[in-house]
Amino acid sequence: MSERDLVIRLRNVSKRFPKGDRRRSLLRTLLGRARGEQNSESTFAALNDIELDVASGDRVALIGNNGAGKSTLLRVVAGLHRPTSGSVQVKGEMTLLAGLGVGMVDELKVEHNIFLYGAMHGIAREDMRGHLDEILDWAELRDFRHATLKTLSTGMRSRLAFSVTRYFRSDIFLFDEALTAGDKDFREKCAEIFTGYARAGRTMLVASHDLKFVERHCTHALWLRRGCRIGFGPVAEVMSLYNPAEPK
Amino acid sequence: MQLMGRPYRNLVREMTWSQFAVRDQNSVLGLVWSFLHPAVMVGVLFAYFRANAGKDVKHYGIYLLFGMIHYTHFSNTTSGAMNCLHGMAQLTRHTVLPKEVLVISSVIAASMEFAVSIGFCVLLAWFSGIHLSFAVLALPLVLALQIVFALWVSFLLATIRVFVKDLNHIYQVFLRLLFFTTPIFYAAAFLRSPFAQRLLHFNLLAQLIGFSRSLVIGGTQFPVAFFLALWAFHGLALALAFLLFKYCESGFAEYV
Repeated sequence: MSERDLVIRLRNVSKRFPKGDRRRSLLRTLLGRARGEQNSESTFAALNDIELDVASGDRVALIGNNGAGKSTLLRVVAGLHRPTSGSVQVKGEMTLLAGLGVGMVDELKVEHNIFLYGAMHGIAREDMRGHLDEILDWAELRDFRHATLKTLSTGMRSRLAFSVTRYFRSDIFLFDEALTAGDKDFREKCAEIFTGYARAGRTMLVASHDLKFVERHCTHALWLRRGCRIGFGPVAEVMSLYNPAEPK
Repeated sequence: MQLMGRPYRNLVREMTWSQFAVRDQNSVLGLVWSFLHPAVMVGVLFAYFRANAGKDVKHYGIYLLFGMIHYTHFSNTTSGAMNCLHGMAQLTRHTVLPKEVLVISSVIAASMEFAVSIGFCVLLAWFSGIHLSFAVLALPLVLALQIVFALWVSFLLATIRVFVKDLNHIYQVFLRLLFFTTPIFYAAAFLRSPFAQRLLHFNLLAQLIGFSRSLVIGGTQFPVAFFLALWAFHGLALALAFLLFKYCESGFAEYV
């Protein structure tokens, strides 16, 4: 893999979180500063010396049990969490989908939520308007165009949000379980879209527990356990070693 | 998403619209409340205070209203923006969008009522017999300056609020003090102590209220040079507050 192709490059990335609430009252903050107190609170390691190279067009699955560090890794790559140590380099526009429909507003109409969700991911209302009917059709919500979002079921909301994501034009997509939620029909529809992304050469990082999905759609897998990298490589190779029933 | 690029402006517009639209959505009148509320507030205050107070102040009712509207805008806008990162925690924690959009849209959404209220107040001034000069046309510049003022204070508060959990309570106490130390319901001359008079020069909200009153009610000369100097000051303060916000932005998702 040449350096030129790399779009995500992590070197010795570690991330530690405090065990308690870090926010303090103003008085405690000022007193702490006045006494020259060092930050001595106990922490735990969510990621430990992670190395990762992702080339353009790679579809990398992040696998591991709950608490393995999958979501934290996605957030570090997305820039939402600053690594405690190590370096993160990312080339290109990114979209993080940590739950479908994050940012949609219950009180707004479905139509306006489409514009809002599109705007959050860099698509102007004018551009989104041209796709409105198609988005509603794909989500099977044509009759709900003027309904408020709160009247929709969870499944309907997921379909709506995912229908909008089909128009996101980022170079890199980070999915945190977003594609593997929902019922069988929804997952099938998502799989079609995911195949489309793959054909279009989009780079993806997908945190997932759905191993069938991983085997079908991903080119590589990164196996994490308690914040440590256990294995990384072609998906078939890593999956042959991976045992989700392993002790935590 | 480049600062002030098309996608960025589009996002600010959509976020502002959504915040503005959801306000009072659960009521029968919906969006109309957003305009009715400042209108009723202005109307009631005008009717009540004109009859009961301000004998020594020319056009006291209008004088009071400008003070109240400026103060209410500053208070509501900064309090709302201070909490916006927490109020929209899902966006703060789980999306890659530039977080300043949340603050900017919160300030703009709250400022729409301010503009309507000031417009309504100018109309009331005209109806009450005040001769409006062409100087009134400069009023939007004062409004814009107040919004810039509210914006940089909002950036500052929103940043600190993420890390200091009791800032909300402290700020409410500060706002109460600001209300009584700003010539809203009394004239500046009421403060007889030279120290209090000097202190008033540092009260940025009092300066803005004074500008509005000067342009609409008249009586004092509009200090153009001082006004321009304040623009420079608030512009610089906005730049610094924004830089601080961006510097701390990478910690927001972890703390909120």
